[in-house]
Amino acid sequence: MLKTINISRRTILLAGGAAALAGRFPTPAIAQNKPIQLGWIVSLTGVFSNSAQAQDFGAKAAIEQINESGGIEGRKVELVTRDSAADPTKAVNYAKELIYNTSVDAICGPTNSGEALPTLGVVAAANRIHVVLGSVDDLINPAKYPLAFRQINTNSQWVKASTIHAVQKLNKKKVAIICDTTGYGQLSAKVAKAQLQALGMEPAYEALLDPNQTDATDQINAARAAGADAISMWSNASGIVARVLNARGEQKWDVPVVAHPAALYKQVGDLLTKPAYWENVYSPAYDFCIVDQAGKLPASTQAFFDRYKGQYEQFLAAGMWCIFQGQAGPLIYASGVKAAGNLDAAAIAQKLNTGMEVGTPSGIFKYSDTDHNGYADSNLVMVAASSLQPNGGYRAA
Amino acid sequence: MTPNTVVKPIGFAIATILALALPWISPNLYYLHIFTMIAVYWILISTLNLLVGFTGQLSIGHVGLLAIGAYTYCLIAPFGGEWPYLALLAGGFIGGLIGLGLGLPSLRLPGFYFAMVTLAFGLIVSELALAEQWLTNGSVGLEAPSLPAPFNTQTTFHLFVVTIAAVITLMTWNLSRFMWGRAMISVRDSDVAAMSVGVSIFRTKLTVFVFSGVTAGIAGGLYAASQSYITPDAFIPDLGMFFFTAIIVGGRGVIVGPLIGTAILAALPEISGPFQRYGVLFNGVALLFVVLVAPGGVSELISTIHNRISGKGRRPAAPADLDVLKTIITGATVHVG
Amino acid sequence: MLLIIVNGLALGALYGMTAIVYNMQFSTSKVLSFGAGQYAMVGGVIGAYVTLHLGYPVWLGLLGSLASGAIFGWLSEFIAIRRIVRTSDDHLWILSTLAFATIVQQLTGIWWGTEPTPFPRVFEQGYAGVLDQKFWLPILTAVVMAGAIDIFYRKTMTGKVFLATAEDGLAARARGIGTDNVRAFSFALSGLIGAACGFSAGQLTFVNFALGSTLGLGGFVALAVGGIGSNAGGLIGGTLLGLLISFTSHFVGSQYQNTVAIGLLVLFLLFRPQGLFPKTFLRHV
Repeated sequence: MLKTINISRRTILLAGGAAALAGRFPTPAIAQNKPIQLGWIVSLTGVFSNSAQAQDFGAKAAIEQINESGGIEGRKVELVTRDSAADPTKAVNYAKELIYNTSVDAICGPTNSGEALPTLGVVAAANRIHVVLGSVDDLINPAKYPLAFRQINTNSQWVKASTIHAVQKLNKKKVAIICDTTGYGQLSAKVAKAQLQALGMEPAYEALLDPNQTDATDQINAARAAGADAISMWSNASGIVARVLNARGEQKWDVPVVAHPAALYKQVGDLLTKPAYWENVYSPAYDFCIVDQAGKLPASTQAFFDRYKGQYEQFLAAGMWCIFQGQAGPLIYASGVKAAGNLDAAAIAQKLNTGMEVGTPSGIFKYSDTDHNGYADSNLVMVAASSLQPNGGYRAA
Repeated sequence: MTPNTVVKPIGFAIATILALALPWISPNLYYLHIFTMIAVYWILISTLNLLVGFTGQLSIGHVGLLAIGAYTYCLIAPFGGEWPYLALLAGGFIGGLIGLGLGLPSLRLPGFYFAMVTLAFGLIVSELALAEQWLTNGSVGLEAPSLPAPFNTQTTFHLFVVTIAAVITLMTWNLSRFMWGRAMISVRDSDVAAMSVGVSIFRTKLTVFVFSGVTAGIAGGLYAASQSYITPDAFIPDLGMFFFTAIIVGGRGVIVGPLIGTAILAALPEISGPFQRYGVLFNGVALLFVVLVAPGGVSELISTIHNRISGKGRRPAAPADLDVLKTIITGATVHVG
Repeated sequence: MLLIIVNGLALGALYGMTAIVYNMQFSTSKVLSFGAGQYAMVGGVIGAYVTLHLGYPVWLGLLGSLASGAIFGWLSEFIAIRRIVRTSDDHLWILSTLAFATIVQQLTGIWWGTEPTPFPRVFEQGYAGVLDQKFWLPILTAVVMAGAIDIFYRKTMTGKVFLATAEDGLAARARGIGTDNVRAFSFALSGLIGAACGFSAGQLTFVNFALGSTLGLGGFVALAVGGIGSNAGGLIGGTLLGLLISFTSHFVGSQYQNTVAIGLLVLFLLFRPQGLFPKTFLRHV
């Protein structure tokens, strides 16, 4: 892993030598030695704090590695972090602060779509590269925001992989869609329906659950009465996911559930009345967290964990992929700058649009003029929630 | 002519000129954005202050009116062509209309009931903004067009917002003085007028509430234009709590206090760095502190300190303009609650 | 169908118990506190903390939960009420209780986290459908609680002192009743009631730092429907609201829950501002 950044010991030595040489002579332009500043808007507190803190850890690790391998174009990279607390108004304020006050060179984040949507226009108006960590499909639109790139899969990719798994792999014919009433859930309800229709099916049953709703048994029974043989559940709130799984278990209705990766969160497992209720639950995960027969993680993933032993463990609760998603943003930007040879936003975007392969620990991104999502479907792997390994990995389902 | 009537217009003029000159005092666009936001909030808070300070009605749900104004602006502005100002006015109109609909049943209620109803109103608005996707585009939200030239740059937009804020501040001021006169008369005419006093108080409250609905709607449009994008997530109850806290902390019933309160509470999270996560907690603590220690807010503290320094001893601070009126009115009515 | 009803009844019991918290505080202080729902939240968090984090048995969790509720009840009186009721301004207590509720909720969010966390099973029982303890526990707690309070008011000396203070604070003071202490005691007791509500509700709602504001609003709707001062009215109001919300979720869609709850509130305030059972309970004396 860490494909782009993995530079041999020799190159590092060379870079070190170059730096030592540079120290001996007067430097031509001070601006060249000033670190490249990357603004990083992340909701470290508030409702998405668990995954955001893991993404933050990943972003910091990526910056550390970029700098160890000599930085970008010989310049160090600095992460300027702002905690937006899951509040879109704060996200916009910080985007402006980072651009006009700190004058960062590019923006990474915000770390969820609700906050990212309002910041797009602000960053675009300031002519900066914007690497966004949000999955909602509407977020990225190269025609409107030509400098904004996505550093994670889209929501449709998650739903698509899950729907295909339910219909083709598990051979289910009548899928019930259960989502929550939050913005994410309502959007995903539409996406899930569209994905079913793409496979020539109509949902057997559709329902939205309120986050305050204390029991989902009613919806489970209704889905059962409608003759459903699988559930497609889209909610990123662990409380709701747990309620649906509890209700399904309590009704002894053992149909498979395909769900948002939140269903894999440790805290969902904690909320289940019985561990057995986690059986037969499938979610999209990533190839870098799939263990082999012996239960070993891919070498590059293991190498990362070995290096950050004692630091990364606390961020596993929201799934190890969050750490790797966080690494992607700075690396995408770094690759763009290296390819362009300068910090000009238009030049970087142009290089990224050529379809060059941007290798990151969470997979390869390839952008084009019309597609700024860039993440390949093949990186997603469906896993069973109950196949969680002690090392945080999963077995492919 | 008392010194007050001279000092106040001068102070008002200086504050306005300072606010207008900000783009040249501080060319930093980020600080300018924060100041613009303070002015936008002030447009809402100045009239909410009239409601809280003058009629004693504690509305926590003005964030709902702000949201309605913002959504109205985003929905209408694209059709306005060169005249998105009409969308601003439409936001004000609908804000006023909803204020009327909300105020008619709720303003007769005792204080806590009213506070709860407004809180609930704020919740309903954000719930509906999320649920009615055909209108609001649900959680994806709506893009807010910026105003056309010449108000399409950060600087000119700031000037535009400050001008509106100044005009509305003037209106608040006149309204309070005008009502004070009316109320004085109705109280003076005691016996015969007593019956009608109750009616006129309700009407006065309703007028103030509708007025605050109108300005909240306009503020909503300006909020949307300055943020360039709105989602239901932006209109959380905490924002309603912020408006309200700014007034209490600043000192209700006077004009300058809440202005200071707004500026402090809006700017603090921006400069407090890592402590920013305690923002809402801080609002709660500030509110509790002010209520327990200085119910008159910052403005009372300032005038007390000022009096001590200028050797006026322990003379109580002069009653606030609006407080006098409130005492007169509440003294003449039977208070429930 | 039965499940929708049972779920509604259980929810209604939570709102009803919160209405009782409102009532108990109002009777001695004439204050309706924004913090009324927060004791349940605190009780639930402490219950889960003692049992799941510290690993003590459930009965100790209950004890810790009740104690924390009582302490927070007393604290809220001491901090947000005591100084305020002495001043003449009739609106300050709205502000002080609102501020106190905000502080409690924010501190819990910072300490405990904002994600919902599990609550232990109180009794050994496999899942039993509509007869599950997560439903009957809150309902039973609410009924027992209302009965116990009734007996407390009528049969004990302290209860009679409460009633005397509630009926006429000045007269009670003239007869040598320390109304300040009575008020403090009533707040501690109401905190205990709230914590019992939160403990009984833990399995139904999970442990959630935002539970307090949800219950505060729902409990207030129950109170307005039932009429201030009537515990039975509060329980009936809560039940009505719980059923209505449960049916709305089923037939209309749960994205309109708040709208329905608040619609009920506004209807009652418009057409029957005194509630269904205006102050019947306190007229026993």
